Amino acid sequence: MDSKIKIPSHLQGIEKIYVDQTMVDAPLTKRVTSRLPDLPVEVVDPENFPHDEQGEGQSLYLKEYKGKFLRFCPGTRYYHCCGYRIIHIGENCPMACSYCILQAYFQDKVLKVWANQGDLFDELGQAFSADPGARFRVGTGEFTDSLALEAATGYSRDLVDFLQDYPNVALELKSKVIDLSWMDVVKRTDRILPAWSLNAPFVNEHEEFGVSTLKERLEAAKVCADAGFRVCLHFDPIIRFDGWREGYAEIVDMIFDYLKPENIAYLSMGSFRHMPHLKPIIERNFPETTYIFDEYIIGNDNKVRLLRPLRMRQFKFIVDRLRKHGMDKQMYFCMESTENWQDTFGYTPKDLGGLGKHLMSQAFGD
Amino acid sequence: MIESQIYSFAPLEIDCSGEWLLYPSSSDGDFRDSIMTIGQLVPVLVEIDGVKAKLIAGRSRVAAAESLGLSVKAIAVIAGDDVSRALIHLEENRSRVADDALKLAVFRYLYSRMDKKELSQRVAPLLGIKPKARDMKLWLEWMELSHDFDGVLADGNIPLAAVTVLSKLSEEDKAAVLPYFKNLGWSRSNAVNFLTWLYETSRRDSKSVATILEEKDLSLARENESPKDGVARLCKSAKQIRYPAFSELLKAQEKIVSEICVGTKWRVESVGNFETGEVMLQTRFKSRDVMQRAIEDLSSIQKSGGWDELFELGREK
Repeated sequence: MDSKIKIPSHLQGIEKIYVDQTMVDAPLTKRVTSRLPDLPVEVVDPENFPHDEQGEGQSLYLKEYKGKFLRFCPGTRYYHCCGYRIIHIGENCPMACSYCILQAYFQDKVLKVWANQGDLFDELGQAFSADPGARFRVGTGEFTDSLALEAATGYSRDLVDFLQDYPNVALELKSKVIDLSWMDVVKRTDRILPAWSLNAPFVNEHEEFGVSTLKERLEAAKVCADAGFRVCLHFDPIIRFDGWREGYAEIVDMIFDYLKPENIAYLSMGSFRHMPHLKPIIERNFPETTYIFDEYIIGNDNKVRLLRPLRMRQFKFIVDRLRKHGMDKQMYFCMESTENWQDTFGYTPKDLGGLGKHLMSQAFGD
Repeated sequence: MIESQIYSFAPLEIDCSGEWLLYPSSSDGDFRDSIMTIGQLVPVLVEIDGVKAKLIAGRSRVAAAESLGLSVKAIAVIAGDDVSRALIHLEENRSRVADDALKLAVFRYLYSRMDKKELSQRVAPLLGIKPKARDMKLWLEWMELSHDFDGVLADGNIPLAAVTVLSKLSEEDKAAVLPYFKNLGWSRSNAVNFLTWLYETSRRDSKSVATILEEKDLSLARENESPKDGVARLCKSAKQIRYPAFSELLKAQEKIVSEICVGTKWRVESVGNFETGEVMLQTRFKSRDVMQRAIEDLSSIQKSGGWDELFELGREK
């Protein structure tokens, strides 16, 4: 497991490994450096990380993280949040999607991995065992892709293994790459939710770089479904482009070439939305991108989002198509208003007993 | 660099043609009168090259002396090259107000002669610009533009901030928008918005700005239209082109509101960019009588069927 690996294409931009002085002997460090033995390693003082040395290439930074590992997903009161809890395992992503918010969060190409896994597991253990009756729906795909660095770090595999002792926790592993190396340690397939982002083929081809194809993602989802897992799918961000109806129809239909509705624990939909300062960053990083010039307004959460009737037309179209394939209450919106729920689904989160509670039930297969 | 000796020259012995004399001559009648009555209080700066004196700073004093038939007191400086001459000239004129026309002339003159860092650190402060200020970045960006827009910037018709959009336009599109700034003076926000809306529409629709201007008939000026009204019209049109669906919602809202509020002083506005259907009502009063009337009007307009339509604007059921 810890010998040299064949570096997957999405990790081939990594040129160097940095390690915090305090993490030199960490098991994760030993694993990463043995899996990537050809990369130079520099031990750094975290107070004096060599930011000035960073060029165009990516680097992997095995860091001692001192903040909270278990967090709440930031929601707002105007739009319904799914109540997902974040396990913070690292920051930044080696892939390049034009719409990604991480570009605004992280200006450099340093892929940070929290190497002090012992501290992470201690914190999680305390939180998850405090009240064994309390259930948690958690995921790692908020500040990074859950599986992008898996080949190098084996982080998700460790997490999956750790969570065997916590049947009150359902872990979602959300990704745009294919890495199923964590599967062999799973003892309860009903507590792990492999998840992939999906989008129209046009978006996948023109706005996502260094990622797997939609076909590869759905093939991997099928492997998981066949192994007894239920998977999660995420249409986020939904984007308007010429031919979006045909594009989203194609991917929706494609899902059911690989999966049955009962294989899907839940499926989210979110229209492209962002903090205003992301737009010039996208314009600079992806000069060919044009969807940022669609009709956006400032929403009630002060984020830029597509004008309501325009995004509602997209939601209705996709939901109608999904329903024809047998999808029902697994579908939900990420950050939409009660009115938009009602107008699209014909019911609101309140009718489901609250979105967080509903998704908890979906995650645990109640 | 500067000699202590004060020289005396006949005005015609001083060569005032140097390109580094970037500040315009400020000579006027009062200045000439002052030279005539009190005399030249401050020597001009010259560089002596053999028998010839090149003026470095003090054009107005030389002009006044020439018209009065007086000699010119001068201090000799050793500059050596045009950049040093310009820097001494700017330093000597530091107390004068530098407008965009002057800054443009200075940066155009020095841009090809100095590197950007030096320009920011040595020249910008002489013009009242902090080296790391946003304006300095804009000036450096402007220097990358062709000279076509220099005239409208110097005239104050287009703001420096417009360069962020201009620099994204193709040469064809730049040529298409230039006429809009020839005879109309634009505020910073109007100019930046107008250009941004056109540029973003062109990116969204994959059409050139020139094509959009032609298709949408954004005529430059209309008969009996004031410049202010002209700018307002062009901005409104460009915004409608950029946000067609949003503009339609606004138009529908205006129609409904005008029907609801007809004959009253109540104003109704949708809030939150049609995200929620919420509206805001406003009126003003300064007496109980007017307040009573407003309450009666409100009671009357609340019966209008238009409200339901207004609350639903933006929904897609």
